[in-house]
Amino acid sequence: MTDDLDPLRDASDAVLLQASAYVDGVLTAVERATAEGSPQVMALVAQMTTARTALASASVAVDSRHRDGAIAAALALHRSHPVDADARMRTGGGRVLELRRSRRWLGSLAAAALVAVVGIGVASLVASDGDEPATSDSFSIEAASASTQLADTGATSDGDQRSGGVDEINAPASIADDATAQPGGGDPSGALPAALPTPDLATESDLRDFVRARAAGSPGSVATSAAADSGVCGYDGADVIGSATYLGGPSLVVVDGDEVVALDPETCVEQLRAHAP
Amino acid sequence: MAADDDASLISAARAGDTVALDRLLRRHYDRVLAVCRRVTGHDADAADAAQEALMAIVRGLDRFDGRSSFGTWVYRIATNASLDELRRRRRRPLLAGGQPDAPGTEPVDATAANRLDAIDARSELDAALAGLAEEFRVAVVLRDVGDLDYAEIAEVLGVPLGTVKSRIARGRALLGAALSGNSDASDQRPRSAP
Repeated sequence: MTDDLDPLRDASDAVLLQASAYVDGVLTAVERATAEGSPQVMALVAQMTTARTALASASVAVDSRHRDGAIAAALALHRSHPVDADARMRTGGGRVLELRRSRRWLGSLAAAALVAVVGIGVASLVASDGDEPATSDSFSIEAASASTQLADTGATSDGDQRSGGVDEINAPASIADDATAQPGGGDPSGALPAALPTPDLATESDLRDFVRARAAGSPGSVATSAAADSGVCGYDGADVIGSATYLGGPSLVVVDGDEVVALDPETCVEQLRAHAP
Repeated sequence: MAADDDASLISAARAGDTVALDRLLRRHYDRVLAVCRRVTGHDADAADAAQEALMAIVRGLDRFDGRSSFGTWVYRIATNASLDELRRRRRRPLLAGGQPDAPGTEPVDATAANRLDAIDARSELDAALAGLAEEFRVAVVLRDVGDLDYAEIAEVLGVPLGTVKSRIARGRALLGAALSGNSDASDQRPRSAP
């Protein structure tokens, strides 16, 4: 091909867009007629059609072993992290968390009621009310122990965010993350701190923006969770920048040399990496 | 008979139905692999990326809210898994050549002549795709392999519609030029930001 037959050379953005739109069949009749009156545009259309045809027709062979292996790994992950589908009906905003809380409180209440019944029975036999847990006490004990247990599992990724972001719409749905979604789960005072937006990272640009925002010292941005103290995925606590979500799932952002990395805090799989801004 | 559409399978999977999840993943695996293969340019990297994508789908399944189609959501995950794999590859020591897969790694036509032609065509396509900037390659793959429309691609990539159109236009132009034998086409960079 000689240069004078290369329609791409010196093609403006407008010409490229016109040719691409022609290939996609989204031009109006008038626009199409205009395009067809331009040799450069039509030459580009021909090249673009070649590209499109090549891509569309080139099949990708599926290795059944790889496919079965990938699906098996995904199913294993599903079995190891069963989800409570009922509790995760998306009703919008903080109501997702309210539904979770109500479910847990109901469970605790039911357990407390059972204990109370048993306790009354025992008390009537031994004539002692020392072992009879009041409903409210059992309720609070159950809730406290649940909060403690869940807080332990959830602290590695979201404590810093959740201490300010209890009512986040996109609160990750993993079991670990439920902990910090509990009311006062990370705050002994029981008060609900102001919600912080949880950025959903999808690109390296998102990651850099997140780091810049944290560096700017936005309120509640400093990682104060157990993750900051104990480290996670091999990173020291001091390396932890904060928590976010990646494609809706939990993500922990850390410093790695002169780069910043978003990790899945459960599997430590790297999600994103970018040069530190 | 249980409904077999994506929405029904998703609901069942969320409720713990492993069979439903298996069916759902098998239904979408091929398209995931196709995107991964065309973005990464390597069979092995594509397989790894596809597995990562499936696992990400499982992790995020209960957060899928239906605002986009499930297929669009899956493509977004596959795209990001592919880009992650590319980043990991850049940090790995280069193997011999560091080139796209050698010819003959994919099944081809039965006859020898067709086989060679098919190998050449695939190698040429892989090389042409590898010559594109990542942002153009991804946009073109999503459009011409994934058959997503502009709005869906904008959602997948998290960029404006105009940016999608520009990237597709430039990506197609460069890819077409490379396949047509304009040897300096793949060296061209955008004259304006997409």
